[in-house]
Amino acid sequence: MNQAITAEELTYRYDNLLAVDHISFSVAEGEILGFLGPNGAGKTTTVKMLTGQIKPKEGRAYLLGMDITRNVEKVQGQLGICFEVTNLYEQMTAVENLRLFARLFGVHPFDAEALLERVGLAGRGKDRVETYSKGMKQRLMVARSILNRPKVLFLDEPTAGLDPTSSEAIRNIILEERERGATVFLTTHDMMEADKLSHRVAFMNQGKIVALDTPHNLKQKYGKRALKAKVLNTNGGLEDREVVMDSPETPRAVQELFSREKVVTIHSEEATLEDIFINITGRGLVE
Amino acid sequence: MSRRSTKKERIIAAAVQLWRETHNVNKVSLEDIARQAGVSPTTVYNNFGTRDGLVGEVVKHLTRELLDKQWTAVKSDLPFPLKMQTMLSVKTATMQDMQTELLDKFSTDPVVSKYLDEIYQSEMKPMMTAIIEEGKQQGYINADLPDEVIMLYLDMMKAGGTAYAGELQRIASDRRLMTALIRIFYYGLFQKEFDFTGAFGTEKEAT
Repeated sequence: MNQAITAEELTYRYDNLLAVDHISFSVAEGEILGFLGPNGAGKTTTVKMLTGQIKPKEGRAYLLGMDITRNVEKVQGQLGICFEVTNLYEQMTAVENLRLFARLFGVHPFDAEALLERVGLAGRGKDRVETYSKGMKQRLMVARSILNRPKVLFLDEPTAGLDPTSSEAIRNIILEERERGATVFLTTHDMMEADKLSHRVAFMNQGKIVALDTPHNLKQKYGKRALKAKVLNTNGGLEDREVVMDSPETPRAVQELFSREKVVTIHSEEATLEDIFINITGRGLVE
Repeated sequence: MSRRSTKKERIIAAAVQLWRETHNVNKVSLEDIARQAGVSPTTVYNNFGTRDGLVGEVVKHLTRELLDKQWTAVKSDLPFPLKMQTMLSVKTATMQDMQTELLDKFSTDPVVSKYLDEIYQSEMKPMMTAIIEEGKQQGYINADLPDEVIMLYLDMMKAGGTAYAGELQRIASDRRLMTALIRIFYYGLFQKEFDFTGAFGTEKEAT
């Protein structure tokens, strides 16, 4: 399978700060890679290098087989990029924004309304962007990032701080884009989202990739299944209890739980990617 | 959600606790129970009438608690073997709590035995049906066995348990014997199969 993105020893420093530290990985065509890590881990700097917005201090990035630093113009037309920071023309309407970018990318013919409908903004195309909520702006930016039918789509925290409806709309777009055959590089610190959408996830911490695998394999390797129980306390309130599963001690622990406490519900739960991230790095994703 | 437990509940809890601690229901007086519950002996008599009345209520209470625990396990997504272990261990623990005098009530006290019969029909059977279904689906229980036959088998075991209550209690107090009985209950007598179907003669052709 062809690689859409290949990073070789990619490195970036801001003065003395080593933001991205010799990272190497590749993303196959049609794959969704979840790129996870806390703020300051080096995620956005990595995306900027991969998309040719900044030059790596060391190492190389290949996009669609081309060295990005030498082929920026050629490659960028095939990329879709959506950053967390709004860069829309606020005074213009949504349709005007989209048409402007369609012209820049040479997309013709271009159906702005159809695109707006896909991101759940049907009927709002003639409104100025400055009247939009944060979620609507984000959806518009996602719409803009896919209007050139990119081969590789970079989404940097596309659902951060959004309402559930907007988040869901954006996730659906990501899945539709993958169906179309696009490669998606998804930066997020929403572990559930990464788990649901990604073929593989990369954990980034302090400039390094500390794990890269499918969510399933990561869970197998680092995660412990647990039984989560709710028990009734003496005041009639509920408290949480946890029992590690798949251990020789599990049956006894469950028995003891049932004999000691009034168990109201009990169910098994897989370790989350968040648990595994903490397990590997000793820190959480959101701090 | 929070509420104070009623006097009746406190008395039952006190009785269970004292019987558990002394391992002998007969050693504990109603006065002890009243003191433990923080009520007057009169309150105990007013709520339960006689000592037998209290014992009967405790049996019902422990049975109810056992069923609640078992339902929690049945409705959970515990792996099937762990679910069975849990069902069994909570039952064993309850039987230990009940001791001989309480277990006797199942057969001797008409109120308790009626309660048990009702609960057997209304809850235990549906519970067993659910767990058998799950066991069959997951391949732990032989899916070829008709439910009807399984339920008859269980009914027979229950009837037998009542008829042989005394013997059953003796065995239940011995871990080795109880393990053997449970083993027979779940796996039968044999560990190697033999073909018994020939004993019924050849199957008639359906016409």
